Amino acid sequence: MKKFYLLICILFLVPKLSLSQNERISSMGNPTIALRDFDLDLNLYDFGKNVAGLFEDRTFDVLNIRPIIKTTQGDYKRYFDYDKSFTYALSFDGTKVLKDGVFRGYVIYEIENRKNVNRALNRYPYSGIPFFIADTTVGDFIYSGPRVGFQYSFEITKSLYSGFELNYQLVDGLKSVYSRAKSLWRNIDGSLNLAYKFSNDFLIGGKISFLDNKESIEAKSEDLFDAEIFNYRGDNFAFKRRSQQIKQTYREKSLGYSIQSIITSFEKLRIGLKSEYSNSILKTLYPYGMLEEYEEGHSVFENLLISMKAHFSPLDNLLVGFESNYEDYKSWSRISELSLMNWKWELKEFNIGSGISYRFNLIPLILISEISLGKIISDSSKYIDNKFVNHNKPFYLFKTGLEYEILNQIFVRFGIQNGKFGFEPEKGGKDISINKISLGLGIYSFKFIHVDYYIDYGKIRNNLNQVNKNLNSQLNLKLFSY
Amino acid sequence: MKSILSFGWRILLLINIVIITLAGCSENPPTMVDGQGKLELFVLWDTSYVDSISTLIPVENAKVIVSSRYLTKIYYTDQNGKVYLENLPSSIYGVTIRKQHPLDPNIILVASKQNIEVISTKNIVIDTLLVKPTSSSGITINEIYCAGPVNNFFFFFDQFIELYNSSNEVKYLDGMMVMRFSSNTDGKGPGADEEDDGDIDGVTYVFKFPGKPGEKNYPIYPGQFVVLASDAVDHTKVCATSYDLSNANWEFYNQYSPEDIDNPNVPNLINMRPDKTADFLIALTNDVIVISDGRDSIWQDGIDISTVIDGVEYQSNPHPQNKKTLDPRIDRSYVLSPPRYSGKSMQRREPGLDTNDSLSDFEIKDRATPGYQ
Repeated sequence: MKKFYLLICILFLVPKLSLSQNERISSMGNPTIALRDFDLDLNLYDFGKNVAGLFEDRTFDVLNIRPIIKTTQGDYKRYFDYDKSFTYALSFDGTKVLKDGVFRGYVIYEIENRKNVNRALNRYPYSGIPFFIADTTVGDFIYSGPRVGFQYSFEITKSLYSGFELNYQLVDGLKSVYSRAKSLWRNIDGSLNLAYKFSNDFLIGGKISFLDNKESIEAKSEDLFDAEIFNYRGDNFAFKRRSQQIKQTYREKSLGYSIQSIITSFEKLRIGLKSEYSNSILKTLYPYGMLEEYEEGHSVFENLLISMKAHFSPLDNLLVGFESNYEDYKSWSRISELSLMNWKWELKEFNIGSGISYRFNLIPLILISEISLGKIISDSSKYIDNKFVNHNKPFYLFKTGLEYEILNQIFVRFGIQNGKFGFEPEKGGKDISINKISLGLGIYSFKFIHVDYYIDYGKIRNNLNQVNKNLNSQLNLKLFSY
Repeated sequence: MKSILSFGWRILLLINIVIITLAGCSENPPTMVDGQGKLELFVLWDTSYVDSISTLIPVENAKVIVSSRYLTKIYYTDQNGKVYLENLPSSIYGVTIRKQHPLDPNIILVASKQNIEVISTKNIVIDTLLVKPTSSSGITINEIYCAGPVNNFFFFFDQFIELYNSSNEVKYLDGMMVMRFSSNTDGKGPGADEEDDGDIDGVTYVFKFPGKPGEKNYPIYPGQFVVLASDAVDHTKVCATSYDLSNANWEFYNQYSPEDIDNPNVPNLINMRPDKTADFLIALTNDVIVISDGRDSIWQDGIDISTVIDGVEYQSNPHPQNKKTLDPRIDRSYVLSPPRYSGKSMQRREPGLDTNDSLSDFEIKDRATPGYQ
């Protein structure tokens, strides 16, 4: 078995709302610190992810229609990963300014085709828990399903805003070969938000969010074979279960708290502060008898984020940005029947970043450059496998891009990203280099419709010279009257 | 303006303190960890078997088969007869020791122990196993093929049971009974000694060889394999992935069935239960098979354990998902059977070698081997 290091992934990040990326930002190299953009304002909604801030952030009606294609392939992968993945999605994301508030709703339908998934039956086998299931075959998985959600924000009394959101996602997965596993992935999450504007210079917001996620997997051989699966409790140890129909369920519940504030210290300086804490419990269950579910594993996650971002604009066409983030993820898992811990890990990330963007007066050009420096500290104790891994590695990420108005209201965009990570926690690779190039086009010549398009191509290479390549493309038709 | 900011900063500070305090309110992790189990085994041989003076000598380079719900792994003892295993996940382990006799190639030194509880947090488990020479035990069930061949029309009629004479002398099959135990599910289960009266209960099918126990008409020679086929025909004509059993030594024939196939060239085992009109077919993934010498033929009140020659239980899933039911005096564990319709069979690792520990004695073969190892 290919050795893999720290098996931390993004499961409990994935279900949270992640609407399609802004094409302008993506095509300029994905800067987030110092670019003036509609989606990067230093306010409660864009920075704080506080839905109560929607009321002030969105002041006009717009409907975004986005067809999206994403592909990834390569040999920088872990043992249970797939060779290639193709994702196709169509998204409708509309904002409507109502009489008493602002409503934003979206519908996305996604189809993901994963090629040559090696044995794993879970959608995310590396989800930070040691409990996952596998069969014996390499096969394709197709996941498809809708994601819907809405946000609503309104003013309760003068300067006091409220907002709430609810998101629902349902994904069906099907493996093409034995054990012909079916997966049903369901996610509900939402939040209640409040914001108070003390003055135009000081806003404060609070948010309570919840998440309920369930993945049910059923291996049922359609021919006469029994389905035989392996319940892993780490990298090395698994026990077999065999029957004509085998089920397994993963159930996660999470609660999170967050506060945000936006402060304008003096006219040219605006500061955003945010802290978030979430706690979730994920249970690994399989049926026992007719009705009961047996808890095989129990995992607890904790996440703490403290973030600061500042915008300083000494000139009208100059923006200097600064950000600093500290994140601490930690988790432990136990085998429930014995109450013995079999995996404990902690991942800390600290970064500071700065950037500058400048809009030229003489030519219609905007230039942006950003750099982030940081450190990733990970500590994994996989007791059941007797595997203990520590990393303490620095990283940097450099982004630069431009936007040029070639014709009246027609923009071309270009961006590059370059980074080096001593340790990359998702796949456990060392000395990771990241290179990405992006191109985009914006046509804003018409009054009621704007068109944005971007395409990017990226490579991620590790110290073993294994490379992953990504190609993403997205079109956006913005309708302003609908 | 300044007062608003000052007030705001205080609120911000307060809420941040609340958030950071909440960060410490998570569920506490267990204090004990898995994967720290230790097992130390000493394998000794009492040489009084070959010498009048009883001396326990360490058995060097003996094969140690360690099984648990997670794995079956093979280790070897060192020159002191010791094997030390560490970083084991907590589980119930079974250990079987095998070593070729240094002088007699027909003898294998065997020891086994089941239900060794290795818990990660407890102290090292130390145990000593005394090997005993095993050979020539007589007739054993050597192979069970019940899964059915690879097919898509529910074909499994090519089942067979293979017997083997591992002794040095001719044995006789006269009057012997071959039984399937699958009832008694309300009690301790099929093959269990229900009232602790020395017999095993739950017989559903009983077929017997002709003759009476003690008669010597149907020999099985030393080292001979005998195939008992459900239907002694060439099944490959029906299902290409199946087996040709037309040359089987014996055939189960239910004389009370109007439909059972009878190959006239193959002698029959006949049904002892008139109420059962089906052929001798066994479950594809879990069942109990027992052969007895036939002295206790009153199956209704159970089969006396003293008459049992061999018995094997097989199950599809490991403990605790499946319950073991066959009396441990006959079989201390059970074989993990192959998947249904896989064409695979269960066969003893060494022909006829029976340590009453089927989990270690048997292995899964990709293809059945009727009449040979």
